[in-house]
Amino acid sequence: MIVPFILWMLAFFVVPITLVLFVSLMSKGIYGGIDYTFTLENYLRFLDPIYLHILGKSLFISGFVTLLCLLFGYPFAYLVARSPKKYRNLLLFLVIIPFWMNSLIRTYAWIVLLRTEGVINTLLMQFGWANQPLALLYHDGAVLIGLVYTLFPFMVLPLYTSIEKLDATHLEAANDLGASPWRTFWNITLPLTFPGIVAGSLLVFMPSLGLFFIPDLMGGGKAMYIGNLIKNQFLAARDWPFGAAASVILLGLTFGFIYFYKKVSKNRPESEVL
Amino acid sequence: MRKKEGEFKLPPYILELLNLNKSYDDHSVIDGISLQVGLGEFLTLLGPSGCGKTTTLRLLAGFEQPDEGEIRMEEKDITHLPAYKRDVNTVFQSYALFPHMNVFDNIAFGLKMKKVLKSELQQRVADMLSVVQMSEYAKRKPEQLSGGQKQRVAIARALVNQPKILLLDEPLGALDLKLRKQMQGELKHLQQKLGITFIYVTHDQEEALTMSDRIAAMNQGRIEQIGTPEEIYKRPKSRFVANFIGEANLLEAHIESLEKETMRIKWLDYQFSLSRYPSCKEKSLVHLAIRPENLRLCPRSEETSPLISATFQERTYAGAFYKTIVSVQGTELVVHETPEDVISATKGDRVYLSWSPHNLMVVES
Repeated sequence: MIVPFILWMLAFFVVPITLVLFVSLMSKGIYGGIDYTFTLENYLRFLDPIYLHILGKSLFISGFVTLLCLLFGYPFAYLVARSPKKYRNLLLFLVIIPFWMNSLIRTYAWIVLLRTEGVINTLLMQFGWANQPLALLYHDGAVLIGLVYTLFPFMVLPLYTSIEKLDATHLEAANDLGASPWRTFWNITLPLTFPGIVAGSLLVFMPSLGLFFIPDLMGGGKAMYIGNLIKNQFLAARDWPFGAAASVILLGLTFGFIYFYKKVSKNRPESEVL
Repeated sequence: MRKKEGEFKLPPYILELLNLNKSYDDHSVIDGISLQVGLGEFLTLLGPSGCGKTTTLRLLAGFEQPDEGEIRMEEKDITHLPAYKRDVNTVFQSYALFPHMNVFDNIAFGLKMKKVLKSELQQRVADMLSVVQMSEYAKRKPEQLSGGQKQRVAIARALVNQPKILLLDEPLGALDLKLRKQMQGELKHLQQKLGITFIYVTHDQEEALTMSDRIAAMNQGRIEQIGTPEEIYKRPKSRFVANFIGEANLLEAHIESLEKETMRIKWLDYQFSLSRYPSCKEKSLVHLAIRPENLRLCPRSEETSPLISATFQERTYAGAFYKTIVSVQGTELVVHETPEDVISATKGDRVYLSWSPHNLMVVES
């Protein structure tokens, strides 16, 4: 049992990560190759305000995406989980359907909707609600829409799981003890579904840091995030060691958040989601 | 120690249910329930699963609304008052302790919702913890408690609010027999000490008989009979009550003739006379019930009370008594024989059955 697992972990986890870590500690070759001399230069370079700003902006927009997904996702997941059983699966199915299509194609679909001569602008002009096309695409706002849209199901599914298994008698008990519906929500529902909130937030926050093609396509290349930065180092700038160092930093952050989640959910072993 | 009949005052009632009806998807769960509950009374709703007892309790708690009828508490209509505004508290069958709060916070929850001052809150929770003997467990989480301990916390969490009425939904159902017996006693003492009206739901007839001031025997969404445990046990009105509360042999007999105060009854080939009951008619069918412990077996015909010849079928040991089955012309009857009275007989032997006429109960069909 254990041997295939070890082989799997070696091939797909240990070796790639070791490679990235190794490359991040090497120097950049003159013609875009790797010069095998040890240096911490790549990590020090990341401390440049330009890159810290990109990282900060990435963390900020990912946080904002997470918050929006949570604000829309919680009531949505709540409604699905509390709807009659016969509709529940259908509603969940509708959330999952977009997964059957490549997310790159879905992003292009958004571009069709949002671009200057796109569906939305055409309609707005047609009905006289706008005199000239609105700039719906190619800025941070468009990236936000793309990220929220793409990652929304990752928020809804863990939230749904934790709300669905919420024992209704706990809510009745709170009601019985004099808690109004609002106070029942704050004192019982929210704390008991907290692990779902954390799990959903991580599942949205972490990928949104790395989803480079959405800022590329919907931000029009103007919006630089940590994901694009890494991609560009490998493909455009051909600075593999620096790209690897940025990757390691991103990975470190990710592990940090998972560690945080484990700490939070340790006190609630009954509701582990991730 | 049971309170004597009439010790609690009826009326004034603390609670009145007037013709409650409730159905789900055209299936009637509660079918015209009317009931009055006296102040400080221990009233049990007893019946098999699906008889509507839990739904009745949920209507009282305010978790559900009746389709028709009225609930009055202290003469005020509370039918449509939401649960959180009602002066009643519930002990749930599954305890429903909040898993993210420790024992202290669970018990304090109701007081916090009522914005009770912190010093008073701590005093009242501490008092309640000692009443249910859980003081050392105040900092434990519910998952670290045993079933009996959770039960005590659930009771404390409800009682700390000093409700006018405590609703208990099969609160001892999940406990093992020994703990259940112990908790029955503790609950009864607590109720007498605090003087709070208890409305208790159970399907356990023994629990109902030992704890209640009055029992409402429920079947198919209706109350079949309401009365003290003695009334319910000794004078069951219906076949259902006779059979559900305690064990009973049901006999189908005919009324042969009516006299001034008695009636002649014929069961199989045997005739005997009983005092008349209100709606009896000549030549009509009548159902009789007799408890197994009120039947006696003797090997020979030597007694003077009604004697019926029967065939011995089998005998099983049941601890305090032997459970013996005999048949009279094809009808099987259960007899509880006390160990000192047990007769020697084997399958197929002729034995004689006797009973005191006053133990024969006329029940409605």
